This record gives sequence, C-alpha cells and structure tokens, in this order.
Amino acid sequence: MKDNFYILLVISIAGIGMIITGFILLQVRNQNKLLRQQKQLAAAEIMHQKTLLQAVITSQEAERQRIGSDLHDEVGAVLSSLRMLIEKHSDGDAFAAEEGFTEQSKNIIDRVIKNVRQISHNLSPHINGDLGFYDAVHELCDTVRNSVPIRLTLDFSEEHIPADLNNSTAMAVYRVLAELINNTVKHAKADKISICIRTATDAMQISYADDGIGFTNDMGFSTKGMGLQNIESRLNMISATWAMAPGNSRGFAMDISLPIK
Amino acid sequence: MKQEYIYMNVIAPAFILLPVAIAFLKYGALSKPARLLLGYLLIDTLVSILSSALAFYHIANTPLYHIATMIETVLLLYFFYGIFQQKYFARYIPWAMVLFPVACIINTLCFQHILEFNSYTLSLQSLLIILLCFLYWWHYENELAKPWAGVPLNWIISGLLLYFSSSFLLFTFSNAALTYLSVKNFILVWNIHATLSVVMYIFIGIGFSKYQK
Repeated sequence: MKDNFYILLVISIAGIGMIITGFILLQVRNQNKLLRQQKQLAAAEIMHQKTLLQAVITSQEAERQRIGSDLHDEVGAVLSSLRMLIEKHSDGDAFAAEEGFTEQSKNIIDRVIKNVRQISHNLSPHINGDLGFYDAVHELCDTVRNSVPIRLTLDFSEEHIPADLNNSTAMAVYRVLAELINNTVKHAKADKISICIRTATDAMQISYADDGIGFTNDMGFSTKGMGLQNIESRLNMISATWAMAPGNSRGFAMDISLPIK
Repeated sequence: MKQEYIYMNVIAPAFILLPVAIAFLKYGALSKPARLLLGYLLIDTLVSILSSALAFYHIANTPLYHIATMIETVLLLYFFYGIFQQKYFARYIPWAMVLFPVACIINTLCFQHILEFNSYTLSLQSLLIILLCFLYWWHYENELAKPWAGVPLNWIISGLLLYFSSSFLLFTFSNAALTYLSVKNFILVWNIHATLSVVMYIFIGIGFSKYQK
C-alpha cells in the first residue's frame, strides 16, 4: 500500500468528527428551537387568559353598574314615592285618607316586589333541572319577542331537552344565548334571529343565526369584542366547541356543540 | 462473470435506472438543481458501464475514476450551489468547484498515480458532500409548510448523506483494504458499497417522484 497512513487517519477522524458534530449541532439547535416555541406558546396562552380575565372583570363591573342602576331606578324611585305618600297622609285627616292610602301603599309595595323579583330574575334566572333550562330558554325568547322588534324563532322542543344537564352548565348555555341575543339586538341591525337546539345521545347542538350586518373581524377570537370573549370564556368552562360563520358573510351564525355525559 | 461480481457490477448499478427513469418522467416538474442531479446520475451511469466493461476486459479502470471523481464532484457541488443560491455561504461553492479539480490533478500527478485508486480525492469528495448535506439540514429545517416526506430535497439529501457518510471510510481505506483483506472479504466490502449506492438511488428516485408542477 502506497497510501500515507497518517493522511488516511486524519481524513477518517475529520470525517467521523464532522458527521458526529453535525448531528450534535442539529440536535442542540432543534432542542433550543423547541424550547423557544414552547415558551412562545406559553406566553401566548397567558396573554389569552389575561384577556379573558380582563373581559370577565369588566363584564362584572358592567353587571354591578346595571344592578345599581336597576335598584336606583326601579326600587329606589318607587320607595321614594311611597315615602312621599306616607308624609302626605301623616299631615291630613287620617280617617278620611285611610282607605285610599292603604290601597295606594299596597299598589306601590306590589310594584316594588315585582321590580325586585324582576331584577333578581335577571341576575340569576331560576334554572333547576332539565325542564328548568327548557323553560328559561323559552322565557328568554319570549322576553326578547315582547321587548324588541326582532322576529325570533326558537326550535327547541321537549323531546330535545337534554337529560342530566347540570345546573351550572345549563346556566352557562343560557348566558351564552342571552349574550348572543344581546349582541344581535345591540349591534347587528337584524330583523330575524333563529335558534335551534338539538340533543343527541352524547352532545347538545346549538345553532344560532341572525340576518344582521354580520361579523367582519377575522383577526381571531381573542381580539373580538367583550361580549364574544365572555361567550368564549363560558364555552371553555363547559368544554364546548364552537364555530362561527366566516367573516363578511351576511348575518352572524354560530354553532355550538356541548358534550353531555 | 463470477457470481459474486454480478450483484456489484450489474444488479446494483442497474438500480440507477430507477431515479433516471423517474427524472425523465417528471422532467417538466424538476427544479434546476434536480436536473443537475440527473446529470450527475447520467455520468454515474456511464462510469458504471465503462468501469464494468473495462473490468470485464481486464483493463485498469482507475483512470476512469480519477476523471469521474472530478466531473461528478463538480456536478454535485453545482447541484448544492443551486440549492443554496440565496445563502451567504453559496459564494464559496464556485471556489470549491475550481479548487477540487485542481486538487484531483495534483493528487494524480504527485500522490496517487493514475493507475492507483484515488482514495484521497474520493474521501475529500465525501467530506465535501457530507458538509453540504449538513448545511442543508441546518438551513432548510424551518420549512414546515409541508410534511417531511413531501419535500423532494429531503429525500435526495438523505440519500446522498446516507451514501457518502457510510462509504467515506471505505473510500479512505480502499487501497489499504486491497492490501490487507482477502479477495473474498474485499469483494464483500464492495458489495456493501454497492448496496449503499442502491439505497441512495432509491432515495433520489423517491425525491424525484415528489416534484410537482
């Protein structure tokens, strides 16, 4: 053999060293990259959670303001008029006024009771058991039909009442529907809302649609309005999945699928 | 021809027809680097046929390898130049395309005579290709738009890396093997090399098949 042994040895060492170093460097780089991606994902998740929390806190504040305003307008005003009535009658002829005073007082107290019941019902609708959910959804739709000029159709028959739906899940679904209707009424300029609730053996399907101006923001769910963020929080809480109609379509539509045990 | 030579000299080299056939079928869809690789395969085919023919007639085929190493390496370097065109280190590849043939000529004139096997330059060729394969993995692993198997170059580079990294020690010690190994073992070693080249051709063939218009 005329080949120089040392040259062969150097070439061999260089080649094997290069292959091994190459694999090590690629491994190090891949691991670092993976770590970086995991950190970015975690940061994005934290940011998303923060946004959701912010939405929850803001909506809590808004709800408190609404309760305060309801108490002030509906209860406070009526109680003030009751006070004025008592003052008025304490100055005059007690006997002559007695009959009218009692009747007026009763009416005012009835109004207070009715208003307090209404506020309390708005705060926490009485949803108890499967039929409770069914009744609450129908009542919500009736209230909307009676208060705003929107044609609302609800397709939710008794045969689709989900069995074993726990109260907190039912409440969350109710709130989501209320929020969706609220969004449509406030922003969508819609003439029509249709809601369809179907229950299969393992899931409840809710389809919501309106014929309003639609939802054109396609920047991602987390960047949308607070109403939608609330909906997202609630749906996450009950492990539901959802899909919205693509942006720029005529009207807004959302399909929700809720697993039920 | 002896039975042990048939696999090494006929069956294994015939596998080169697989990537060549696929490349011709998909020629319109092939990128420029892939067409250069087809050129490399065609030269390789020619070298295999000539080498087997010379061996059959007991004529020394080492001069053929001295020339083929030069041409094949330049073609492979040009192939990598096509891939790395946008990268900062691509400008060094043309230098390698000039310097490598010079090194081959110096080796033939000063170190390994034309009638000797050119183990030094073949080893150097392997080192260059291994380095460029690693550079590919370093710079192109970010392309996550397609699954790994859907990227033609992933297959081609894998085939090249597999072949050159496993054949590199064989090239380096080929002259030593001729001296120290028995004929039977020497043939066995070159049969292993033939198998590695079959694997490379299959990988390149799969790579060519992945090109889409």
